[in-house]
Amino acid sequence: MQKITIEKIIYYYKGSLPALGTTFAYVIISMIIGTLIGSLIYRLKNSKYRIFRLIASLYVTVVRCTPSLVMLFLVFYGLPVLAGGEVGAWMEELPTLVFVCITFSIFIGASSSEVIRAALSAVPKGQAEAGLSVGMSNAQSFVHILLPQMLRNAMPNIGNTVILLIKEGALAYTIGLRDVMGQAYYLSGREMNAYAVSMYIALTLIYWPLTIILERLFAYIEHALTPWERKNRHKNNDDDSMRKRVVYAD
Amino acid sequence: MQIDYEFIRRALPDIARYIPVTLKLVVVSFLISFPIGALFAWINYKKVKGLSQVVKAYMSLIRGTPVVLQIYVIYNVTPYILASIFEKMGSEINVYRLDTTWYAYLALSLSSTVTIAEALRAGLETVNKGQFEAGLSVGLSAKQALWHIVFPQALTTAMPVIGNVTVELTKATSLAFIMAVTEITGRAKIIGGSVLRYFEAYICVFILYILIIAVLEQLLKLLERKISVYRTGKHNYMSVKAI
Repeated sequence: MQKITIEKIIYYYKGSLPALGTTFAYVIISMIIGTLIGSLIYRLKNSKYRIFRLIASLYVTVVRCTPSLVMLFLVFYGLPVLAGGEVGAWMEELPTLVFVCITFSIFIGASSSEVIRAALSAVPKGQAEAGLSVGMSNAQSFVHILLPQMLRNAMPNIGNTVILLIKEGALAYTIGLRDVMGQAYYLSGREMNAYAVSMYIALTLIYWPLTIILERLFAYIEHALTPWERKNRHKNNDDDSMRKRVVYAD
Repeated sequence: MQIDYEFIRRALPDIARYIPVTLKLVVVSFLISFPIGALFAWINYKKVKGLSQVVKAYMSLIRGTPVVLQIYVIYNVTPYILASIFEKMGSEINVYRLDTTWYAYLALSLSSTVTIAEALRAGLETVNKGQFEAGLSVGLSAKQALWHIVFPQALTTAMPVIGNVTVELTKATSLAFIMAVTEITGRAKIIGGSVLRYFEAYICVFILYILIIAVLEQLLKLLERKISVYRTGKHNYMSVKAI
């Protein structure tokens, strides 16, 4: 068994932690682009024309059936080939981060179309009409009235997606991205993987707390965005305790 | 570089020969994770003292770390542990010659265990307490009531999630090549690497995964319909679905 030393764990921890920047970079970029793709897919799904609806559902099915590793390889090796010629040659020079962002944008595009549908359907219809009735334009009523409510409804899903992305992104080291996992592997490779177990412990100590913190953070945001639910919850609790007290008094 | 269609045509059957390996990975990992997941669900549902905390910590750990990391830990650390155990027992088995597929089963079942446990616990909580008591009242033992009455009903609620787990598991088998298991992704990597035609090789894998999962989803749909017989108030369910 390899020796596990505290020094080595700290070494890998300190060495890989700065790479969190890369992780957050692709998470944020692919969340934004993915949501844009997702809204497009949502529009296509509700299109009048059958062909657009077909394209949208085909996209979602195909993406859902593809393992992220395979998609990562397809994008990384395939895009330059598909583009061909000078564009392809230019693409091969691009940093790996770009390919990772494209891959995860494709994935989020598929899942977020569903999230958008659910978030939008949870907002009462009258809300948009109320916006129009006070003289807002369509766009204004969307941005000022619908969007904030949709964002709040989608918060749990957004949190899940971010956490999933951080974990899935660890796969990107296979195409050479230096995120937390890739950086740790690079550092460990320099020492012929002699302290691999220490590296695993260090990685666990990075990823585990990170997901717990993010889970809490998103739960907190959701809590903060729904003050009336909070009130109701307290009221319900009070009701419950009241009822209990009455029962006990009996 | 141009896309080599001839290569795709030749590689597709070659890679398709490894579909059974992928399917075996899915089935065995599922068979490992389902009973353990059910056990964990039961422990969490009953809030068994001590055990439930351990299970919760385990679930949080598995949910909080990337699957690749879990695979590496299982693949690189378990042999050492097993070797030292066997050494102490004085056994002659050489763990380093064990088929790596076993590590793949273990590593892949870790995360599906957690999801199944969570789904079944939620399922158990939706089953009315009276169901269990009704079982006892007609003379079943606690074990029988649990097995024949409560569990099938919990399964109906958990079924969609379990279907998702199976699909996720199928997709996760693509990671098994890290553990030197040659399934379809691993095979594609090998033949793609031999002539530097990665893109074409992965196109084949892409097609195969879509086919496998399309078939799997149909099967799961059938199974779900079969299991929904156990749902309480099936008529209610049907009318809700109709709306």
